Amino acid sequence: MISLRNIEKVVGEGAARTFVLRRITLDIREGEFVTIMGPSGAGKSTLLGILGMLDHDWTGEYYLLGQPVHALKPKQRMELNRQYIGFVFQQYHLLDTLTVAENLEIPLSYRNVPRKEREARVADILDRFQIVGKKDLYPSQLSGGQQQLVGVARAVIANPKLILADEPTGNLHSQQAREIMQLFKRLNQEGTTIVQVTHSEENASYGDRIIHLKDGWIEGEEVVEKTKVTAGA
Amino acid sequence: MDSLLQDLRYALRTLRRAPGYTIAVVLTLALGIAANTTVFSVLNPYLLRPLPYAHADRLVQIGQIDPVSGWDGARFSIQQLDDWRARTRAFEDVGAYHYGNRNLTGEEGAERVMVGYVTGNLFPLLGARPALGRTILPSDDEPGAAGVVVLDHGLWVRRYGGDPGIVGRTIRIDGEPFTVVGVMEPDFNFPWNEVRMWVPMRLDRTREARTDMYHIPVGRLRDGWTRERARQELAGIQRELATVYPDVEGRFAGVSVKPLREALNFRYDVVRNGFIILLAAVGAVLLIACVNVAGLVLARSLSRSREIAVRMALGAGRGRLARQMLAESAVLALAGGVVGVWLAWFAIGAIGPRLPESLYRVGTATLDGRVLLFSAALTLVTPILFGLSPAFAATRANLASSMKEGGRGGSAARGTTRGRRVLVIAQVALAVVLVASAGLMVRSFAAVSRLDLGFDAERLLTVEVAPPAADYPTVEETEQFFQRATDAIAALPGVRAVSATAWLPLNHENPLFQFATPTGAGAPVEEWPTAIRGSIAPGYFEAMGIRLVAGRDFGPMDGPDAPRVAIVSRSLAERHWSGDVPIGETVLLRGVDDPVTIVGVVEDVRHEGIVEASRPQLYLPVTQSPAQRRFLVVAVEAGASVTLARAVRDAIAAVDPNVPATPRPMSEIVRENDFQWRIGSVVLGAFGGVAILLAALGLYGLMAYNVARRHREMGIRMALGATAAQLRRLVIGEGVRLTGVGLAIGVVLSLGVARLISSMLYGVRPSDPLTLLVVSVILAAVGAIASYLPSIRATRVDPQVTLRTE
Repeated sequence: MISLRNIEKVVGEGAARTFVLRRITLDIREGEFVTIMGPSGAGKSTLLGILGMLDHDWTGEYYLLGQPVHALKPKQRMELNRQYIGFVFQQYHLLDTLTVAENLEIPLSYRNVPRKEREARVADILDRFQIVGKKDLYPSQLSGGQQQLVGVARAVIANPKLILADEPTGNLHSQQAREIMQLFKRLNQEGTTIVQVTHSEENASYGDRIIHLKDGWIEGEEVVEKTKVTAGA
Repeated sequence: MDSLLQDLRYALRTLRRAPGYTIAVVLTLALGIAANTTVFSVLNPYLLRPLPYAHADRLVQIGQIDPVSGWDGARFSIQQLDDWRARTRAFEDVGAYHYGNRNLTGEEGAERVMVGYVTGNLFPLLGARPALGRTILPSDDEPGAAGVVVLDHGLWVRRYGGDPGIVGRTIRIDGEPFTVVGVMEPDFNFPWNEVRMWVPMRLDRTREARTDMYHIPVGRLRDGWTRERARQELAGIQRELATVYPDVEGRFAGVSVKPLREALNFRYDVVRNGFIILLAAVGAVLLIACVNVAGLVLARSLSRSREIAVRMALGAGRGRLARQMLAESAVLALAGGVVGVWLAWFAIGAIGPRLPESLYRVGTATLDGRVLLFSAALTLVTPILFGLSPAFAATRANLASSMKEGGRGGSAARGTTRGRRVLVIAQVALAVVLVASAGLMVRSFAAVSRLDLGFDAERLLTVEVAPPAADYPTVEETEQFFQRATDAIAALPGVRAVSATAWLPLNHENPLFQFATPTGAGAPVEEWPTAIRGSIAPGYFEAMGIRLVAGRDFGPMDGPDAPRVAIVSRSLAERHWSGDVPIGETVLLRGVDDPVTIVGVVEDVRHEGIVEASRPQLYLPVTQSPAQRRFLVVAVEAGASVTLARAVRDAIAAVDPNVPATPRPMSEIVRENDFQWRIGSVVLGAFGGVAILLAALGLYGLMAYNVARRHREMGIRMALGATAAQLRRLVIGEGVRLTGVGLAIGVVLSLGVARLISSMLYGVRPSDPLTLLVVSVILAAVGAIASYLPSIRATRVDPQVTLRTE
């Protein structure tokens, strides 16, 4: 599904030039659940930003579902983003002025989904995530865990093939974190490819494969032993 | 459509959640729109609105240039007019008018109204149409034709209750019957809005001398004739006739041909200059408003960069984001527009009735739709333009870092802050220019107010009175009427002195004498010097508060048959008798056979204008220089001029109910003369105030935003041991620095602008250091206060909370 060849990212100019990512070559198959780990400053979030087409300033080759992203213009990249990708953020990034239902509706609205269908899909997702009772509340009226639940619901509402999650449980306590990870696992089992960035070994254990980054380089990768996966997923 | 409504709904909700921002933007927009719309709407009737005559661009007024006085509007006699009309090819037609106050009597009461006397072809020449009946026709203008009158719309409504049956009714003007034949449209006025009715001249040419020059010609240029070409043709006619009539045409040195609007508005230059200054001032206010809105919108958009990044991550395209921003800007713009129109409507309603009546205008000051659209478009484009910028910036930026940066202050934040600093400096500089201009205008007004007019206007009531010649056919009867009226007024409590004059100072009537001392009498009469002519009753100087320098006032001994006497002003005496007191000396007056003896010298009076150097004055007793119309001047106790007005009117009505009298405080006449400084001070002062307010808002907004953006930095500084005073200094220091730069630029700009308005200044140099110093101190204080408030917020940062949330 994803194929990266020699991806490099540099920040700064002249003497202050610093490599954030170096010669990243990586393949991710459709239906995989991949975890990116590494110490702070390793380049994890930067890599996720490139995968999600939020960052256009890099070199190398990036193929998404066979499409050469590196050769596309920003507008075409945004089109791919709209078609295939959903995001979950550590800070949730719900829009403060919109209710839960409106936050869920926004990605559909940006994809020009007709109103009737939008309403139906929002109702469906509220039901699926069991947050019907919260639909008219504003983000500030929700707990962190509830906000991230809405964040995940918002990421999946447009039926993306790929979910990119940046420290999705970083602001949650352990019980809430576990629930969110189980949700990811279920989505993955339903066929969605997931790439997450995390510091947590426990969260990593939900995935199939771990990529270790350090100082912008891929330091190594390991396959997660399935026996470790928490039951109930 | 569906998503458009959604955008609007979200926009409304977003703005409701940011009330401070919304109110600031809406108010700023409203002030900009209101200031602009008000100025244009108020000046529109004076300068811009089309004249209420057909093809007015081809209408001109013709004057002769008097080499003695320099006046280019000298009038014509009907004989001249006939001769010139017969010779000119430049004009389709030439008509003429003159005007004067007359007594209108009848069951509605007696009142003094301004009547326009017109030739029969004038109304057709103007292309004026009546609202009722008809206008004056050439057949009405025959000698001996029955008297007809056309009424002004305002007079018809006020005096006759808008009676639709008015046409055919007879009214009495100076006791003579006139049949009403028409009522003009509300917007029509000629030659200005104080003229309330028009009658044909019905001149008997056999009784009119070529020297009876009181007509003002108005012509309609033929197609293809320019004003200059017409002027050359008329100058040729003047030269040709000068050979035949050396005492009439030969007295003049050329012809003026002026566009009608310019000619009818006797303060046209002042009004036009004022307009240009106001335009610049209001333009500056508008610019400050736009700059302020731009700053506010930019700050707001920066604080939303994270939101925009999230939206883009969720799939929003540039177009869609732009539409969302546009929806918010549109809501703001609409609200600003509505409040702006309301403010303008209120301001125009308040200013309109206070504008000088004596200046020519077309219609009244009303909210002008075109101006409203113009200023609304200009101010509304600002939030839209700047509101869109984050949408475009976002598509270029690195969204991943935008989401992290959010309102924390990364490179985008730094760029925007630099931009806002420039905007704030620009605001302060513009405010300095406006406030400095206002300061100069206020100082001019103060200087004008301090001027010694030569008389005491504050405690003086004036009443124009003209007993009709039909009821008072002889000089003796007229004298008796004025004596009785004077006695009746003098008996009123609160009246200190009463007298009379044929012409009031500063009342736009400047009758001239040419005179000669015995030594100068040998010069050609055309070269004799001129003096303002006075015709006064005894006690005039005392009532007016004009100081008698030497000799005596006129008295009962100066009757019509007594030796002819005169009183001269100090400057006349000094100029012609080299400082000696010329009591007992004689002067010759042009057109008067006997020499007159000087019996007194009085202080000079500002007669022709409030700041203009007036010509010297030469007064004759009214008994030896009779006048049917006189101004009674009533000196009253302090503060009594308004309350005594009715008593004075009643006293005159008790002498003769058919002689109308409308008392007017002399201070009102003075105000008509200083209106340019008075209005200039008030309007520029108001604009200066708005400019200071907006600049303060802009500075406050920037400082508050910077403090919010540097929350983390403040937390770290506190954690490292910074005191509250040190943090305050940090914030105030930046505000004061920005203000200082704005001040410096503003002062330099002010020096340039002051030179441009120097023609409107009086008694103050354009580079007046005191004004600039005061303005600088005010702006510096405002800058410090605007920075102080956000600095308090900086000291309230809790480092533990701030750093933890990061």
